[in-house]
Amino acid sequence: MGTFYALIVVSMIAIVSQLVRLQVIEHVSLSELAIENRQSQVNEPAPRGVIYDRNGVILAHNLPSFNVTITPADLPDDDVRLHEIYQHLSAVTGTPISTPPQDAGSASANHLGEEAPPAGITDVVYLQQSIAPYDPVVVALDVPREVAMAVSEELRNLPGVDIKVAPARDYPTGALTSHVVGYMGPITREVEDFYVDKGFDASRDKIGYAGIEAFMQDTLSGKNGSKVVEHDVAGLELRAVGEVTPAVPGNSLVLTLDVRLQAIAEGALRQSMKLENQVRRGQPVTNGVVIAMNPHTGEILALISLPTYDNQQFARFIPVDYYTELHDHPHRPLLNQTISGEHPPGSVFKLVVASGAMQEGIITPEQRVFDPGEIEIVNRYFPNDPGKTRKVVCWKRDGHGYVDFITGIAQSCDVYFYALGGGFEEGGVDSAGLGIDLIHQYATWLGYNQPTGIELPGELGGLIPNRDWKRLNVGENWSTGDTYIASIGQGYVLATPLQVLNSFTPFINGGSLVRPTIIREVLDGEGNIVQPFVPQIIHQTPLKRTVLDLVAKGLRQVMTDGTGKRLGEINGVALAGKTGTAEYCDNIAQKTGRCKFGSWPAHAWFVGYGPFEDPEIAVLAFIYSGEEGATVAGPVVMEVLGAYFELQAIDRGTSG
Amino acid sequence: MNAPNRRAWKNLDWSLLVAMVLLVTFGIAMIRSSTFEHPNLADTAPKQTQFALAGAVLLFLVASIDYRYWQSLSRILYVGIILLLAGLFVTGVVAGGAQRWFDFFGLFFVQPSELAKIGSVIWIASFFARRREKLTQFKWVLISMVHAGIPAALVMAQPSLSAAVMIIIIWMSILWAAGLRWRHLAFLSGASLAGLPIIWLLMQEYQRDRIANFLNPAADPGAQYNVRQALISIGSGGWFGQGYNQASQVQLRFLKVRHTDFIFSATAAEFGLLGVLVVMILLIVMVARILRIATIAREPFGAYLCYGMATMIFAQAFFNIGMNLNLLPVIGLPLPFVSYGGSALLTLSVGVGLVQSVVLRHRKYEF
Repeated sequence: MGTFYALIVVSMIAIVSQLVRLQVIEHVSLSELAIENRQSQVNEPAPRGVIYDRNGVILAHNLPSFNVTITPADLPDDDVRLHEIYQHLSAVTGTPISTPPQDAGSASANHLGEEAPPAGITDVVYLQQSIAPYDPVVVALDVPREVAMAVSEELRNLPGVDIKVAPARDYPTGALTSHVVGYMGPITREVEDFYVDKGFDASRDKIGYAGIEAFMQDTLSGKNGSKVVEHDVAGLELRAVGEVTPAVPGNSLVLTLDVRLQAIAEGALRQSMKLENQVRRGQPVTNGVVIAMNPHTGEILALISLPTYDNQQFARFIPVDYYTELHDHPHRPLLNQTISGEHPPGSVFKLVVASGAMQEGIITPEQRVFDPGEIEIVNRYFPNDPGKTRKVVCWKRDGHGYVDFITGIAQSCDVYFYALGGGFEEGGVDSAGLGIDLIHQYATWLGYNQPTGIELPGELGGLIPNRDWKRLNVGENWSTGDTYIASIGQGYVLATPLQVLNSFTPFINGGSLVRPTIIREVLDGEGNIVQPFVPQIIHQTPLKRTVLDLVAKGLRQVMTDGTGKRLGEINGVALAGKTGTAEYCDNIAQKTGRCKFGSWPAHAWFVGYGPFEDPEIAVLAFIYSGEEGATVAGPVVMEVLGAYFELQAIDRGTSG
Repeated sequence: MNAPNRRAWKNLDWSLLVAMVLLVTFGIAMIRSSTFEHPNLADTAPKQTQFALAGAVLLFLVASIDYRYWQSLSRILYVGIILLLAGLFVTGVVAGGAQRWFDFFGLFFVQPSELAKIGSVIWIASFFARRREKLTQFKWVLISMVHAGIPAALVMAQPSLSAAVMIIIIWMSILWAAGLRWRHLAFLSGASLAGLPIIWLLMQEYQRDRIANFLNPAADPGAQYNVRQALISIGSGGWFGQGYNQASQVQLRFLKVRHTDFIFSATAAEFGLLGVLVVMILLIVMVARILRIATIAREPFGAYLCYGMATMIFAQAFFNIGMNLNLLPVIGLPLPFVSYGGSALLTLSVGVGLVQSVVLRHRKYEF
C-alpha cells in the first residue's frame, strides 16, 4: 500500500515540475511558437503591367495558369484511397504516377534553376512529404482550363489535392514582337536576395529576362502586397491579422511600335532573303534587320531582327530543349541584332565624312575630285618606298571620272571619300583630308561609338577607331591607309543598325540627333497616363544648315540619279536614301573560308526616308552577308515605306 | 454469494463514482472542443456520450453481481480471452496498420486488447488469491509469470505494445500486493534486464521507432512533430489556459490526435495548469478510493481486484501524461475516462463496477 502511494507522489512530482516548466517558465516562448505556427506572412502578387503597341494592340498580358497541387499532410492514410487519387490525377493531367526511368542527363534541372514539368506524382509527393508536408507541391504545371475545372469539381473526393491559379504571361503577337517585348523567367539564386528585398516571392514571381520585359522590369512589376494571416494546420487562411499592405499593380506600357508595320516589315525582309537565296550559291542568308523610325521624335515604329524566337513558348516556363536549341544556334536568334549586332557600316558611314569635310571646309560643293577607279596611297612615313604604297579601289573599277560633292554621295564614290577623309592632291590643292581625329569627332556627333540609349537591354556602342585605340588594341601606329578605309565605313569601324539609322536623323530634322525610343506612354493600373510622350534628343549636332541641306540633297540624288535609282519612287512621294555594301570578315566568314583577299563577303545596307520635303519616316534594312545594298536591302525599305504611307492614308481615312 | 440488498447500495463509494462522472463529462466536453467543426470527427462527442451511458449501465450491472462469481469463472475467462486474441489473426479488422479490432458479427467493434486488460485483472487476482501461500516458492512466481506472459505476448503480436506492458504491470502490481519476496524481486529484476534485448527483437518496427525517437529526437524530426506540438500546446496554456474552444493549437488542429492520445495537451492548452491539476486530482481521488476499498475488502480476491484496477488507472494515466509531457516515449495509451474511445471507457466502467461490487460486499459495516 505504501509503495503505491510513494509511486503516486514521485510521479506527481515529476509531472507537476514538468508542467510548471512548460506552462509557467517557458509559457512565453512556447506561446510565441504557437503564434508562429498559425500566423504567416503572405505575399500578395501584384498584377504585372500590360504591354500595348501604339494603337492599343496587346503585345503582352496576364492569363491565369492552372497548377494541380498536392499537400502531402492532407492526403488520406489509406493506401488504397491514396492510389485512387493518384490514378485519377494521372488520368486527367497526364502526369505519370511514378517517374519513368530516364537517363541521368535529362533528369537534371537546367541552368535557369527551373525544372521541366514535374516527374511522377508519387516521387514529387514523397519528396515534399520529407521537406514541407503542410505546403502544397505542384504535380501538374499549367494544365488546360477544362482539366482544372474538372479537377476542382472533384476536389471533395480528392483530399489533399487543390488547384492553384498562378498568373502567367501571354504574348499574343509571339515571334513577331519577341525581340522588342522579350520574355520572363524565374528569379535565380544569384539575384534572389536583391528581389526578395524588393518584396518578390522568389519561388513564385518571375522577372523579365529580355526585351522590354527586362528593361522595364521595375515599371511593369508593381509592388507585391503583404499581410499576416492566421491559418489552420492545413494552411487554410482564416483571417488577416493586423495591417494589410495591398499590392500595387504594375504600370502598363504603350510602345511606339505599330504591329501592322512590324508584320509588313518582317514579311518584306523574309521575302527579300528568300529571293536572294533563290539566286545565290553557297551559304543562304538568314540574318537581317529592319528598323522603322520617326526621324523627328525617335519613335521606333517597327523593329525586326531575324532569326527570331517565339517568346510565347517561354510564357509559362522555359522549355529546356527549345532554349538550348536557340542558345546554340550559330546566328543567335536570342540576340537582338538591331542593337546588339556590330557590323562594318560601309557606305552608309560616308555621311560622317561628307558632313565633316564640308563643315571643316576641306572641300566645297563644286570642287571636283577625279576618280580613276583606283589610286595609290603613299605612306607618309615612307614616301619614297614604293613597297609601302597601298592601292585602294573604287567599287566601280573604271572610275567615276570627275566627281563633285552631290555626285560623290549619290554615286557613293569611294575614291571621293578616300580623298575627303585621307587627303588628296587635286587641281593644285593639296589637302590633308579630314583625318581620323575629326572623323572620330564627327562620327561621335552623329551617334556612333556610343549606345543610343533605347529602352532595350544589351545595346552595344559599336566602334570608331582612333590613334589611341589602335595603339592599345592592335599595337601598331595609325596609318593613312587606316584613315582611307575608315572613311568608307570599313576597316575597324563597327556600328549597330540602330546607330546607322539614327545617324540620318540630323539631316532630316535640322541637326538634332534624336534619342530612339520604344516607349510612348506609361499607364497606371487604371489606364491613366502617368508619363506622357516627350521626344528627346541625344544632342544637337554643330552641323551648319548648309551642310545638312547639301548632304540631304546628295541623299535625295541617290534615289533620282544614284545607287538607289533603280528602286524607283512610291506614288509620287519623293524619297531619299543611302546604300551600303560593307565587306566583312568576321568569325563566321573565317570559319566557312569566305575571307578570300579581294573578294570578301559583304553586308547589304539601305536606309531610306520620305517624303523628302517633310520626312515622316526613316527605314533601315540590313542583311547579313546580303552582298548588295541596293538590290537586297533596298526593296525591303521600299516596301516598308510604301506600307507606311498606305497605313497613314488608312488611319487618316478612318479618323477623318 | 448474494445480490446486494437495498441496504447494501448505501455502501456504494460515491466519491469514486462522482470523480468518474466528472472526468467522463469533462472528457466529452474536451472531445467536443478538439473535434469542433471537423468534417470527419463530428460524431465523436455524441458517440462518447453514448459509450458513457452504456458504461454507466455496465458499471451498475457489474456492481450488482457478486464479484466472487468472476473468481469461479476466471479459468473460462482466461481461456476465452486467449482464444479471442488468437482468433484475431484470422478475422481481425486492420485499422491503422494493426490488428486491434474484433468485429462482433458486424454488430460492433471491440478492441480485444482492452478486454485482455480487464480480463487480466480478474484472473491474475484470482490466481494469486488461490495461491497466496505458495508464493514463498519461486516456482509459483515463475508460473504466474508464464500465465501472464501468454496473453501479453499475444497482445503484443497484434501488435499492441501498450496493452502488453499494462498486463505485465498489473501482474507485477498484484504479485507485489500478494507478497513478493525481496530476493525473488531482485532475481526477477536481474532476469528482465538480461531479457531486454529479446523484448527489443520481438517488437514491431514502429514500436522500436517510437522508443528510438524518444531517446534521440533529432533522428526523425517528422515523427517528433506530434510531441513538439503537444509541448507547444501545453506551454501556450499558461496558468489558466486560453479558454474552452479557444486554444489555437487545438482549434487550428496543429495538435494531432488531440481527442485521444493528446487530450491532456488539449486540456492544458484550454484550461491551463489549473485545469490539468484538477483532472489529475480527480484521477488520484479515484485511485486513492480504489486503494482504500482494497484495504477493506472481504478477502484477498477483492483486494487484488482493487489493486489491479488502481494500477490500471494509475499506470495508464501516468504513461499518457508522461507521453504528453515528453517524459516518456509515445506508446499510444489513452488518458483513462477522458480520452475518446469506446472500448477503453467500457472496460474502465466494468473495472469500476467490479470495485463497487467489492465495496458493496465488504464485511466491515455489514451486520
